[in-house]
Amino acid sequence: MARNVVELAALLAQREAELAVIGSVQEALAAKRELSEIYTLVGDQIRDLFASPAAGIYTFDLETDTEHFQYLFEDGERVYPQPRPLNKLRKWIIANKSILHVNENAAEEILRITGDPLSSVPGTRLPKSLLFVPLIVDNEVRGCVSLQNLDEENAYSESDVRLLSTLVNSMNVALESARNFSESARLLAETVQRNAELAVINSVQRGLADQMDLQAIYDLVGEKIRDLFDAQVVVVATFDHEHQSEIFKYTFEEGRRHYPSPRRLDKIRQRLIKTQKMILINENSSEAYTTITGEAPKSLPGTQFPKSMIFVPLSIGSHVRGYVSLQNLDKENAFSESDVRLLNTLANSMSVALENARLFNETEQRNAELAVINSVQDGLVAEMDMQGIYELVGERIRTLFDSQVTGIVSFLHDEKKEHFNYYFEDGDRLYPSDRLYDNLRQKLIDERAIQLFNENTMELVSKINHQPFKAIPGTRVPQSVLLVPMIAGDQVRGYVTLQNLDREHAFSESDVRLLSMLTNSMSVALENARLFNETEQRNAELAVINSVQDGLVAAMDMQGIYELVGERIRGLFDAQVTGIYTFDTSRGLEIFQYLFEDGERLYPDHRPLNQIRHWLIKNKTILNISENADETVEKITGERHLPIPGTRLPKSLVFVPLIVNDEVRGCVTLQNLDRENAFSESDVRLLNTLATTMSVALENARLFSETTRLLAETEQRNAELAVINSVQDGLVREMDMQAIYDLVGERICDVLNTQTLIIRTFNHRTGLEHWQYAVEKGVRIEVDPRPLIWANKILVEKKDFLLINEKYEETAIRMQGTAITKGLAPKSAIFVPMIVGDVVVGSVSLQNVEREHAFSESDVRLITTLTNSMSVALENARLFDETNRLLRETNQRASELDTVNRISNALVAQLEFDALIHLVGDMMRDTFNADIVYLAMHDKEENTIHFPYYFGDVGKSRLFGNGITEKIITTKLPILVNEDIDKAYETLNAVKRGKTVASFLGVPIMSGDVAIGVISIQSTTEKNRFGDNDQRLLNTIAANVGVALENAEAYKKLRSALNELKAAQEQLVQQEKLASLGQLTAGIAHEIKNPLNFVNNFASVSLELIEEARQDVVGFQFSVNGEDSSRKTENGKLKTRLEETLSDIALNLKKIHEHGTRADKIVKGMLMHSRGKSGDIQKTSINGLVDEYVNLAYHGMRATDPSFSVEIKTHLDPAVGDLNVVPQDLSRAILNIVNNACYAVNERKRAKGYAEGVKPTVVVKTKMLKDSVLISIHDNGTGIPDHVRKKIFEPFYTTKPTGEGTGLGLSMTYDIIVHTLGGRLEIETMEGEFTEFLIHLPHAK
Amino acid sequence: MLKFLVVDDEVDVEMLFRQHFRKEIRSGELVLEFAFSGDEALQMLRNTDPPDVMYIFSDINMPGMTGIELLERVKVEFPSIHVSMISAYGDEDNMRSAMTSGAKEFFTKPIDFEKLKEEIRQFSDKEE
Repeated sequence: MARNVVELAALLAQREAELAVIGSVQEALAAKRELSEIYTLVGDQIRDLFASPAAGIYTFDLETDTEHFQYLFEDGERVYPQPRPLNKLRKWIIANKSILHVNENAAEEILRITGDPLSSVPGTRLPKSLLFVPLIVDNEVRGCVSLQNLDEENAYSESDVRLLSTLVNSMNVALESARNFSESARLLAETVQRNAELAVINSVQRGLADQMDLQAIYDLVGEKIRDLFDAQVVVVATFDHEHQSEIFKYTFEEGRRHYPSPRRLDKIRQRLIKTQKMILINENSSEAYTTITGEAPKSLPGTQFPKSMIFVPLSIGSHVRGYVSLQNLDKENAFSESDVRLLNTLANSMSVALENARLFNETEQRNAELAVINSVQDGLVAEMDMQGIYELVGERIRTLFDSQVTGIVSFLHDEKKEHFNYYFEDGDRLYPSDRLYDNLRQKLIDERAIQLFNENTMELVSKINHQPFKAIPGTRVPQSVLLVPMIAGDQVRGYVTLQNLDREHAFSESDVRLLSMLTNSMSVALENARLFNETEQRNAELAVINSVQDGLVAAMDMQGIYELVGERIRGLFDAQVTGIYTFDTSRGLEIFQYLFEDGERLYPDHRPLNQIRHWLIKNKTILNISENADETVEKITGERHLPIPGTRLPKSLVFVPLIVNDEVRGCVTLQNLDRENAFSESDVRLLNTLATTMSVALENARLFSETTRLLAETEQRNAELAVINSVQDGLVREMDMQAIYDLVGERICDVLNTQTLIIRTFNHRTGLEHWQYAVEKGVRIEVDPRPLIWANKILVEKKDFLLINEKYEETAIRMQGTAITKGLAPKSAIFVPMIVGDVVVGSVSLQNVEREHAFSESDVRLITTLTNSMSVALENARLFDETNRLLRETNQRASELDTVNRISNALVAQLEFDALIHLVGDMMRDTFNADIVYLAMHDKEENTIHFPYYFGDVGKSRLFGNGITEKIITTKLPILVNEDIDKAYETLNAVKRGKTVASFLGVPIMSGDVAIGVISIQSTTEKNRFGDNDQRLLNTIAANVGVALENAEAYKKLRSALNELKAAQEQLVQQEKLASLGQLTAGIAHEIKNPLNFVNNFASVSLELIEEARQDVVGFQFSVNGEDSSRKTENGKLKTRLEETLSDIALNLKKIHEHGTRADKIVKGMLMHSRGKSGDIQKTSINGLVDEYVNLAYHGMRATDPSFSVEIKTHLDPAVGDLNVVPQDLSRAILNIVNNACYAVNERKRAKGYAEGVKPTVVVKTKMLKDSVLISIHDNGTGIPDHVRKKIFEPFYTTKPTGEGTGLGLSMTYDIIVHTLGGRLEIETMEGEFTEFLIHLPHAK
Repeated sequence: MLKFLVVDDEVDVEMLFRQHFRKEIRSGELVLEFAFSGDEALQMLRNTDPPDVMYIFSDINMPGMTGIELLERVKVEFPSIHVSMISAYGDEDNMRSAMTSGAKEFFTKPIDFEKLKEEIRQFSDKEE
């Protein structure tokens, strides 16, 4: 029992210990402690219980053959090794399900038991004693509990083993249930998370299913993440590795979406890409950021730097495509481990989903693109025109994108306009007109880049355009705008646009990419279409060109080319009628070079050009009629459309003009007889190109044949030229006429090998022909001059060659009217005229007596050329002779002329008669070196002859007698005697008067028809002293002297006439003065009436007063004695009155004197004028003078014409003061000008030239200027026309009617102002408006 | 009492008139007033309403407003006042234009005061 008691006590203690352990486990379980905590609790208690330095609780995962260290305590501390594979020891325990207890030689023992050396848990030491108790659940070893002593063997007793195994068995169930509980809790949590993740993933998948739009997925995921996590900032971004930038797909911050522009990768992002691992910063974010990136934190513009942040990479394969980031701006540790896990999961899911979406999208896009491209290709295949392609692509794009506006627009660059090929808005197809494109379009063209506006579209576009955004008329203003350029080559040909009218951010990146892809495809397709068309056309053109070239190479004639081209065109186009016509505009015909109709080649005759052809010739452009042919043609031509005879009228027709050198030479036509619109635009274009090509080719062909012809001709010409050259060489050398005839004659005989050649010259005066060179049958013959033969007569008349190559005799008879006279008639003959100037001076003729057609055209040409050359040479020879002769004569004449000139010059300079005579005489002596010279003059009235000049002899005046001088005067002929003067006297029957001389020359001096005298020169010593030349010279001199004498006479007369004229002029001047005086008189008369009025009336009133005074004096009674007071009073009154009366009279007399003086002054002024002489210079008040004479002029006008009325205004500058002038002169000048001014306004008034309310006005001003005093007289009268303006200062020029003006007024005025007063007189005037005279008088300062 | 207005740019006219009519003035038969331009005359007429002047003698040739113009304006503004002209230009046209404008009489210079007095006397008799 004691033992039992002891045992029981021990057992009890053990049980208590066990219970404590189990209890604590239960407690922990009840408290829903974490499993790890329970392991720790159990482990600690076991360690305490057994006082073991090392203890461990391990669980085994049999599926993965790993053990997990739930609790491990070694060397006084808790350690947490990583799970490790089950070692042999564990596997032994699992296999044997039994306790392992080793107390000695642990290493060997373990090796023995397990067959494996004991390995320590990494970081622990190998134990010396060890005890492993398996944890068995459901007969399976789930783990074990171990106690180990690293220092001592035999550390654990059997009872320890028993206790631990009991404890473990008891605890096992509790632990197991705790483990289960924990596991299920874990699973639950995981399920929740999975659910969340699944929700996200589902959302993503739903999104994917709903719309294959990447942006939509980003948005969706972004929103979902934002819901799930506690973050103010959510960012989903992708990386553009190429540009080292990130693109923000979803950015949420501060409660709203943001759309930042892409930005360069920062260090954080670079690290994400490099490490492909997430970055989590939960504390001290700024420092942490700096540690990671090595730089200070930067937040996105307009955002705060967050306190917590997490970046999870979006990886696809081994590429980081982007990241998701959560950021909390307010608190640290915002993101838990599970958040991180979840975010990672989501990021992974999204990566996959997005990749799928992207792939799907791309496939879709490819499909769409392919569809569009196919559409385009289909369109092309269906031979659609460009518009068709636009429509097709437009429709296609419209179905692909979310936009109310879809447009395909091309640019008309030249006009700076855009043309809407396709435009769809709000469900309607619209057709806007072309319009000038705006700056936005210009920007598109310049940058050749996509223009996308997703926000503030109106504002941005308005800014670009510098003006408010304008929608295309009839459309709405868009919120989002996308323009994608259509580029061909390097030019923007147009653009495709999408516009969303309702919302911003309507177009995602992928939209842009897709649209630009489509646009590129379309651009290429369209360009291909265009190129294809062009290539086709080029091919056709080349074929035609080749045909033509081939034809040319094959030396085809023009017709051949027409046929060739015609056939070619017929092959190319669908037309029953193909025609090539040329126009002969000079004859107004069209020629059908090629006509094919209804399968038949036709050859119609030429016919007159009809209206269509005229239309073509006039307009030089294509005529394309595709509908209503008959009416259209009728409208164009104004006549009924008639078919070419034998053909039908067409339904479609095209005429393309063949234009060479801007002239329509013909046309090419295609006609379809059966249907309208048979020819497409491209057909017309092609035909036009062909026609142009053919025009050129045909012109080339024509030029080719022309060139060939010219070449042949040139060769001939060269041969001829050689002959001509040799002749001309000879001619240049020869100056002898006969030598020239011989040279040419021989040369022609040589070259033409002719038998008979005659060169003749004609003397038209005598009607004879001279045979200058004649060869008959090879023999030179000489023939006397004889009358012109018939052929030469014809030459003279026609001035053209005559070629007779057959039927010579018949022809000759026909042409001359009679038979040929002598000799054997030739069979062929040619006559070529020699023409000098316009006269046929001779002929060259060749004859052939043997055969007809002996002379070819080129012979004619050659002979003609040679004859012409000869004509020129002959004329030159003649001219040479003539020139020599003339030269000699000219020299002689020149010397004579020189003499004459000298004399004439002298004569002209001398007008005095006597001086003139002496001059002539002296010059005769000098010129002729004669020892006797005289001039005799005949005085008809006294019938005497006298000698005003006589040198070498004495000449006395005498009665007109019978001397040799008288003979000359009587006969009016010169006399030249060179020898035997006495015989000459005899012959002349004249009396010898003077010395006997050896030579005598006398010529008459003529005045008109009458010989008025004689000049004679004589030599006393030399015979034959004077020749013809001397006589001619002397004659000329005499004629000059005659004229000079006449002049002298005339001069004398002129002088007296001049004197008379001067007198007359002076009289006229006086008259002018008188005329102005007359005008003045009237004014003065009025002026004088005023003072006169006073003089008269003051005088008469004074008389009355004196009479009164006298009566008063009579009434005045002197008292003799005493004082009568009443008398006294009366006398006083009388006295007062008398005194008053007397003072009145005195005052009156003063007035009479004053006004008398005034009248005197006026009269003096008048006298001053009437004297007509210029006065003395005296100091004069200019203003006073101006005022006075303006007034006088006015009254003068007023007096002569009572109806005259004018407003005269004077503005006199007081600064003007006095000037030293001749007052009479200046006053006359002013009077004249003011008179004219008044006259001018009166004229204008009379012509009713004043508008209502305008008065005839003359304004007179004076003004002190710097250097002068200005007096201006301005009138608003008729003004002075230009032609009059130039003459008004000329004397006797007047525009006034006869009798009203002398024409001297302004002339005198000018004289006075400019010459007498040294001033200036200027006029400013405008016809019908005004005249202003400006008088500037110099003043001495 | 009759009031006459004489208009002339020559100042001495006043003295002349006053002497010629000294008796009439002295006896108070008539009152003479003088103006030296058309404007001054009109100004004087407007001073009393109705004007107390009954008869105007005016020169024609005056600087500024001419006598004819004055006549026309008086005839418009004060139709009851008589106006006679005095001018050195006694020609037909001048007289005719004065008469057509409503002048009562036309006197030439030098003034014949006998005639003038006769005119005034007749006017006075008629007025009385």
